[in-house]
Amino acid sequence: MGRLTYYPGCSLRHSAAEFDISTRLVLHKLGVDFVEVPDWTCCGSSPAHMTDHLLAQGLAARNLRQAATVGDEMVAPCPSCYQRQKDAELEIEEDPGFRQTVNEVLDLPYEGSVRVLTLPEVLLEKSGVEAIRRRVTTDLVKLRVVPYYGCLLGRPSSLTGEADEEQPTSMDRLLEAAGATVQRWNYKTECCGASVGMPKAEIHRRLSRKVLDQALEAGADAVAVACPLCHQNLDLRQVQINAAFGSSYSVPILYVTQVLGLAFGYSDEEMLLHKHAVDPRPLVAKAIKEAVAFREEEARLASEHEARQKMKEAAKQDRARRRAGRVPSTEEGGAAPEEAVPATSAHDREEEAAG
Amino acid sequence: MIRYDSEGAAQLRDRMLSRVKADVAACYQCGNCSAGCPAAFTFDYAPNQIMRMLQVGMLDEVLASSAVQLCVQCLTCTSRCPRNIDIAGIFEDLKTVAVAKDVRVPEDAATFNRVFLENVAKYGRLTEAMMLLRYNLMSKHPLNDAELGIPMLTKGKVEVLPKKAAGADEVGRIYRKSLEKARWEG
Amino acid sequence: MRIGVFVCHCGSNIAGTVDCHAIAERAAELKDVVYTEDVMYTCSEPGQAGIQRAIKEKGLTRVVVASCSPQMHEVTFRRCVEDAGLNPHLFEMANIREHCSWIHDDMPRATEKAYDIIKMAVAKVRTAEPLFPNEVDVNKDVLVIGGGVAGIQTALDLADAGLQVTIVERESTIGGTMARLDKTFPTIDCSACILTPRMVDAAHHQNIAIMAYSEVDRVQGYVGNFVVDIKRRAAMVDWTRCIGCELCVQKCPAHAPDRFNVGLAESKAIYIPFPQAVPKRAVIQTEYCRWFQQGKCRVCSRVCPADAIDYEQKDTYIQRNFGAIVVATGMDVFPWEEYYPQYGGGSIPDVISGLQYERMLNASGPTGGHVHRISNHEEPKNVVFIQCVGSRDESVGRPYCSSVCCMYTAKQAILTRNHCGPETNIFVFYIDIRATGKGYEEFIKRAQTEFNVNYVRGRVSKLYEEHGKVMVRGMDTLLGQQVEIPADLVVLATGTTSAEGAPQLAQALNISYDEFGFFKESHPKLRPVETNTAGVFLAGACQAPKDIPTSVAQASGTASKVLGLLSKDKLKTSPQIAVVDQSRCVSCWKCTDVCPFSAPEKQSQRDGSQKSHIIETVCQGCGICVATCPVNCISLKGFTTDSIIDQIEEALLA
Repeated sequence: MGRLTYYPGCSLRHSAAEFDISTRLVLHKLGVDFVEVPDWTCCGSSPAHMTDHLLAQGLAARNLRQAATVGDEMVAPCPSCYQRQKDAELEIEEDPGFRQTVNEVLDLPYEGSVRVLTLPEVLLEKSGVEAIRRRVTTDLVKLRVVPYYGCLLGRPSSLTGEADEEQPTSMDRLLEAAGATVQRWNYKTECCGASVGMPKAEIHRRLSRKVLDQALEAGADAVAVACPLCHQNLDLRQVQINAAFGSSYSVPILYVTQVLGLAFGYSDEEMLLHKHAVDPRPLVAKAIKEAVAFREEEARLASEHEARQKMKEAAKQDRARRRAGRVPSTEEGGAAPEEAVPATSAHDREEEAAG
Repeated sequence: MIRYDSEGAAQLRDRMLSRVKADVAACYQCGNCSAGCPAAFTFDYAPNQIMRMLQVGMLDEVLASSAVQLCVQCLTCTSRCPRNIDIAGIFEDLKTVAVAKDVRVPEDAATFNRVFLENVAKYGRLTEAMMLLRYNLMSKHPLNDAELGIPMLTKGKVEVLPKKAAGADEVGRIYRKSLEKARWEG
Repeated sequence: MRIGVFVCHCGSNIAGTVDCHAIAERAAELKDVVYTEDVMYTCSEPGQAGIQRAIKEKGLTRVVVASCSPQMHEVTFRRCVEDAGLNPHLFEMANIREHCSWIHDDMPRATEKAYDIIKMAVAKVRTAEPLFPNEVDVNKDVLVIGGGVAGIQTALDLADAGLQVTIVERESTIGGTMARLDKTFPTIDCSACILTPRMVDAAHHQNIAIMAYSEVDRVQGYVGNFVVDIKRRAAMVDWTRCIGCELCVQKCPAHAPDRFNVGLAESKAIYIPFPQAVPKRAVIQTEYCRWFQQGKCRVCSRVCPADAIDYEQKDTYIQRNFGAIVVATGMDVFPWEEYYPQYGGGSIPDVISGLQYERMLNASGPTGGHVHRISNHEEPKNVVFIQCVGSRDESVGRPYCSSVCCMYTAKQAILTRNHCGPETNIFVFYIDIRATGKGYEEFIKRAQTEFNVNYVRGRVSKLYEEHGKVMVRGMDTLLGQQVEIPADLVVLATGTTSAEGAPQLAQALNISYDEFGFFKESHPKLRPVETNTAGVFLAGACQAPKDIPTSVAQASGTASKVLGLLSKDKLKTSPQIAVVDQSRCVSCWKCTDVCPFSAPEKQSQRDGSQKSHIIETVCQGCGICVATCPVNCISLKGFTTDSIIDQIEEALLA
């Protein structure tokens, strides 16, 4: 059955509900058809593969099996869910013996073949940059963002399909297509501290702080993410970072699908912007307003320029007409002076003479 | 001073080769893994030191290290290793070895993992609030992240009354069956 | 017929896996075999004397040695039996080392296989016939491909010995990589001061012709008689008129990246790489020239006092004959930008390659020898060197050591101290220090002590910009601590890679190259400057990364090998050549089509028909015509179809 299935994962049900809703709306707007994986369960996330390999692959395989009942592809917006299920997909496909081992811990065996995709992959493959661009109604040119991929959206490239795991580009392309201004920066794939930040707070505090710091250094107003855990560490825990370092960061952290949704004309409420700890609404409102003013100014300058060009053209034609009245002398323009003359001026003279 | 256990080291190397397809003997100690590691500042041993310990067969010391428990699995080390060694894969495997051997490990990372998985095994899907509450009690930091409770509640980011998902029973069985099979020969 | 079989132990190389004594005894039962023996080292002097003694005492008429590959020792043993009075082609080698003992570990089965190989060799030698070589005249001119320091050295040595040498250089000047270096280790003497006099010597030598801006297009023929097509690239400047005054360069309005200065400066569309270029002649880079791109300008043609500009110039082809070819095409700098995104991939201005820094240090370089940051031209406070960028790194497909970076980094660190003064901090991140040459280790010590260079053992994981600095995130493995250095300038000890187009040249020359594009020598210890194609030799870094002393030493070694070859007026050709049975030839001329050496010719018969005939002195015995002939009327002496079938039968018979 050739259908795309949607695996929300545990975080998207509650703590990252805005990622879930904005993803569904964006996919809908782009006409990407999907169906939720029936009776999906937790992918096991990091704790499973850090505890036992078979457990990790078993939990993921159960979801693949559920997906196979309604489709043959699965998109998991959460990169951790994606990696767990992709890893299981690849190992099971490559090793029939391992499929058997996994099936021994499942109630019903997984015999199918489901291809797991990242969210950027789905957006770029099933829709594409052009389709996104066509649906943009709100100008976000004044929203300066840095795309933050974190660990699992880029690494390892054998899994994620990014050509370069140090410099992934899928989010850049999506954000640019949405019309946002994407800033170049060095921290695309640095770790935020992930879930180990729970038992060891100083890890995520130091790492997330560095990410915020680098985003500001790059001249961004907001960070765009595609991972619930990155969002939690950067947004919800920003207050902890400030408390720990005596800093005063107030950097809105947006899901990439929220940026796309805003560009498509969805409202702040529809994109659930109010759910964020650092309220992005003032920034978004300001950016949209500035964009309108910027475009007006741009249009004014363009029309002025056009008018000047027209006048120039008219003057040139006028000059040519007057010249044509006289007999054109080949000597006049053709003779090149002895010493070096910048080529363009010599040539321009020839052109004038010819005209 | 240590005495090298060449036989034990050779055995450990073979196990890592078969379990992770990574050869610890290929490490030439350039330190790139440690240089790029975002969490190494909290480790007792830097990743390259763990690699060295594995080369000489110091498995017990490695399993008892905080480095293995605090590795965030960001895969930076693997992606930049000049000898193409899957260092993150080795660390991931060592975490599971510690579970299988039931080694007493430092830090609360393993506790977090267990609480997380037991929650999932019970409900099928993670119920974050229940899990956090339980973890805080287990790790004896009851007020950990308490300041985040209010914003999480008011922003509707927590499920207050957890429900069992439809596949929860199967997930419980996967959990139990897998851990029964988990093993480390010897 | 009396055949003798000698089974070699090769120490434990063969005897470790094959029971040599047992198979020597068994071989005695083979038809026509009258004498067998197993020997510890057959190639040794007593081993060879034993063969000769057996030939005389036992009246052997044919000999089989079961040992290593013909590549290794066929020549040795042929000479050995010849000295004992046998025709050298009545000797056969059975390769039981590379084909058997080295690749197996099961002794009984390996022994069985070795015996089969010996049986086949005996079957072949049984039908062998005595063969006699021909002699051909030798052309004594030498082609040197590549005009770097190695090519120049070989050319000068050969020319001094009286041979006519042609240097073909791809760039518009000779000098190669060394011409771009500032100083050389471990003496810190000026690179140009040593090299440019040699360049001028080469240019003025009456026995040397330099063909710059030229490439080898096609190579035909064989040792002693190569026929080479050389392409002269169109410079768009008539070099017979150009006087190298650089007036055109000064007046040219079109800018182009300066390749000689590795992009640290701009050059013009018409350019001369550097002031001491040899030959000092201008070249138009048409991809940047306004005339070629936009159809206007022609400034150079107007200002040239020698009327040398020729926009209509085309590539020209010249055919020359040579007796020997020396390949000295050198190396390139590893293109780190494509492989190290974690170091910014070229997007951080203050992160530069070792060769770029070399140009920056040079007094006639783009900064006039001032060390400064690319971003703001300030003198750097913290300079960080990172070794092994593009070397010893399998993640970028370069597992080998580039062999020069440890030393050039130490040199550059010392020069940095000289240029920047005592308050600058200099750090070198290293994995291991390889300082194996004469005076090298002492040089490293001077860097550490006299010049206060801080060596940090560890690698750098990432470089990124922060607050106007380049943040270096590294590891001090000896302390077990991560380190972070806010650097002003980062110099990557960029490794070496084979020269662009090396595989294509190797194919044209019919020589081997490794997976990285470096040319393969015939034997790493015994024939280090020869290739497996007779008459083609190697010099310098085209064979493997090398520093200047090693390149020059090898280049002189190569010259002596060429001299040895060309000291003879005639060369003996191999008698293992193809012959046509003209009574069966159907004149289809497929042999003339496939022969790479043009050996078959059409020979008129008395009845007026034409039949194929192989010119003995031209045939190289490759066997392509034998395999191609549809009526099997061509056979290869020493490798007849009958002898091959005999071997197969022997192998298949239990």
